[in-house]
Amino acid sequence: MSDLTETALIEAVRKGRREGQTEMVGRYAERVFAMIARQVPDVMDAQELAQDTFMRAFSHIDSYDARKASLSTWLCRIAYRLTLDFLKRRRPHIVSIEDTEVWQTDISDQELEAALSTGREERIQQLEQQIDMLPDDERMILTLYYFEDHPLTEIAYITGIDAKALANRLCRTRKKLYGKLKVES
Amino acid sequence: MQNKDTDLREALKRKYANTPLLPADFMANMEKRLENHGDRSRDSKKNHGPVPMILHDSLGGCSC
Repeated sequence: MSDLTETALIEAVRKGRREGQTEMVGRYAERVFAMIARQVPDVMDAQELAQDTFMRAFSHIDSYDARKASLSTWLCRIAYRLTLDFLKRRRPHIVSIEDTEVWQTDISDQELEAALSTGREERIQQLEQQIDMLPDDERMILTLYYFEDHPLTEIAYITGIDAKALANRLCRTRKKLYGKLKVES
Repeated sequence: MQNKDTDLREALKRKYANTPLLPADFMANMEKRLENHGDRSRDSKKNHGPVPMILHDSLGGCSC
């Protein structure tokens, strides 16, 4: 990896220089691939989507604004959209679980605390399963926040959803997941 | 609410524990794709380069 600054790297990509493109892939491929592979189980598909992300970045580099986000976050934004589109095409038959099952989001914090007081191991296992059943966008947002530790402002940029709405959505998703545990227990 | 977040983090950690790593040939495949893309761009430039002249000719040399 070279010691090019991010500004110099972007400039090189803007000029269409191959070494700039290769450098960008070298720096960010791992992160972009991991983000995609968490949602797309087939390695070949994930690899193609990660490559699409970089090809898209190279051809749209002029629209990148360093004042709005880091290069890495901008790449995550492209990867997020491509992944969601892919999942939509791949699984059009899947109906959101919200439409088919009972998701309780109106439970109180006290009830939640009660649900949390026992059986942690079992609860975590159930959560793992419930996360799989979330709509793709909700699962991705949950992952960006709780697993990848992006701040809300960054997730807002990646997803194009307002930070306040995003916070509400995360809260709803959490309640939905725990409400489901409560319904089942 | 601390528990709730801890459990969610733990569930996600377990769920993604076996996420595949970046394939070893990723960079080589990317290079190939860039190469192909470069070839296609060059070809398309080659094919479309004279288009303005042809259009101009097809207008019968109109200079308006």
